[in-house]
Amino acid sequence: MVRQAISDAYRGLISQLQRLTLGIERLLNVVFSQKFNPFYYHGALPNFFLWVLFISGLLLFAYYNPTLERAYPSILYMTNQIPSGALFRAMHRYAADGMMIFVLLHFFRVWFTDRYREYRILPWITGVILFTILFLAGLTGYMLIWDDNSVTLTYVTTNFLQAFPFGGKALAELLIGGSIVTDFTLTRYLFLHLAIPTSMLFFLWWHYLRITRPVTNAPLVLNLMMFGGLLVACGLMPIKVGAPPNLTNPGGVLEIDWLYMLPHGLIANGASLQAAWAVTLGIPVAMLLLPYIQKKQFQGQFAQVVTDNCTGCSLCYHDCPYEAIEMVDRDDDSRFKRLAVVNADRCSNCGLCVGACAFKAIEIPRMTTDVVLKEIQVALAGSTQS
Amino acid sequence: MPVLQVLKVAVAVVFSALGFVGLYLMFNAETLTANNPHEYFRWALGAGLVFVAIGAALTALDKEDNVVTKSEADRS
Amino acid sequence: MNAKKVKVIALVCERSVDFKNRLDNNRCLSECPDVHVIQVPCSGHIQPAMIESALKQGAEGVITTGCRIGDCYYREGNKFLKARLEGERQPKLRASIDRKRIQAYWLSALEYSRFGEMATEFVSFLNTYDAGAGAKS
Repeated sequence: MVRQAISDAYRGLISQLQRLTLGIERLLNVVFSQKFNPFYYHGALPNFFLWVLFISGLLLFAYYNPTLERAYPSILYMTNQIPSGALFRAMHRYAADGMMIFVLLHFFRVWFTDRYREYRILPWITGVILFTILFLAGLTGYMLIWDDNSVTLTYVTTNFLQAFPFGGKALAELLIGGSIVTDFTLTRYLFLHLAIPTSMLFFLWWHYLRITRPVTNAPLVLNLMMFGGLLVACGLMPIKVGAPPNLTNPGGVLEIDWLYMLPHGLIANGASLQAAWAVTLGIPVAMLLLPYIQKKQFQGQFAQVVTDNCTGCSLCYHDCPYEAIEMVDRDDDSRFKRLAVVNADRCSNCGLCVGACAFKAIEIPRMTTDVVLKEIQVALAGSTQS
Repeated sequence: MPVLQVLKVAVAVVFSALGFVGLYLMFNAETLTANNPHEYFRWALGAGLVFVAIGAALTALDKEDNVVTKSEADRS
Repeated sequence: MNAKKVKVIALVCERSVDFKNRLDNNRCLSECPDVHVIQVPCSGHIQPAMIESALKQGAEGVITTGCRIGDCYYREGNKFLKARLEGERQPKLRASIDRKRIQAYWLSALEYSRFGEMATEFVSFLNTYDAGAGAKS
């Protein structure tokens, strides 16, 4: 009973949020036209920024020098001496923000439009992991600059890590490569900033695994606008280099970037280390639990293949948006060689396979072809009789 | 739909103007450079505006009716 | 009151146009009773054969409606139906079908009024249009 009440209340909330999303999209359709509505490419746009990050990051990597003495001067050098070096730094910086912003949009839209549970659970879980990866990539990026702010960031972060009740000290030592800041710290930061984003590629593959024909690229027009917007941001907010690092007296106030420094921001606003940990861990855990609040829509239902009608044409196999249909060899004495088989866990009961079938060979229980045809017949017959 | 078409062309014109502002920024020195030791930022701003303008103009000029799919005869 | 002949069958995705309080007891549009609405799970669920069947049984026109292209809840349903209607995806709508009798709208749940307008316009077009085999009156 309580379970049902929670499920219903949550469902009501989500449907309101869905109307809000659709309202925003209706406005955007007027501005951008349906074809280029950025809300329809919320999953593809982060990929564009990922490409920008990769290319600009390679150029910065070529000049970065990960030692205590040389890190800050190498940042100064690439900012002030290399032609457009400052521009590439700015692009790397703001593309990360762009990616985070569109990932958040992706997250909220998928959540509000109820596209995150049941057969979509794999993309949801890997999405939470990817979100965490992006967060850590941004955080380590701030550390690499190794100006005054990075030193403060290192102190706040190690303090934060040490407060973790289980092996917090080890976590802090893992981050800075020892118990104190040395040359290895910078090498470690560089390693983390390369390894963490690279692991994103693996999770992206997983993210797409159960999705047929994932939309990984937005239309050229949108990408142009995103690139333009990125360059405008680079022009309006020139990238800065902070004061030189001061390891003996780092007491500067940390400049908080809320996109990547959630615990730091909480601590700066007076939260205790434990509270910051609770929130930081609580958010991804809550995200992972979200899909289980609402009851399943079609308990135990999935598309049914009518074996006698199936010709093995594999149209449904190609059209299934969640790779739920497999073509197997037939072992009965049919004159057809192949047969469609549905994987129940992956099936969304959407009926795209029904629309793809010209032989009434696949049906979803909640609305079969015959029910639709009957309704058409009744509607037309009822009217002619009178 | 003529009103909508006119509106779209108007939007395209406005964004093209924005593009020209971008080109001006790209190719004219003294602007916006006072605080920058380099001109890359001005260049970036200009180029960015040009890109946004191109994208927006292409969007505005997208003539296809996206809401209704009519017969093939109608489309030809 | 004489029940009027239903002219148009509308096959509508249950997630696109919201028909709450918009239909009469016969599931026809209250503002345009010539249009009978049948809600399906997704516009991608609609087989071309369903459209053909409706026309064969005396419907003067068929409307199919899905969500905005780009926003299918099941990712690709509306794109597939669009391609089928345009003859670019199997199973295609038969070539002999009079395309003027078929319209497809792509509208979100908030855009009922747009649906009502276009459906009414379609019905008045069908009233003046009598070419082809599908028309019986």
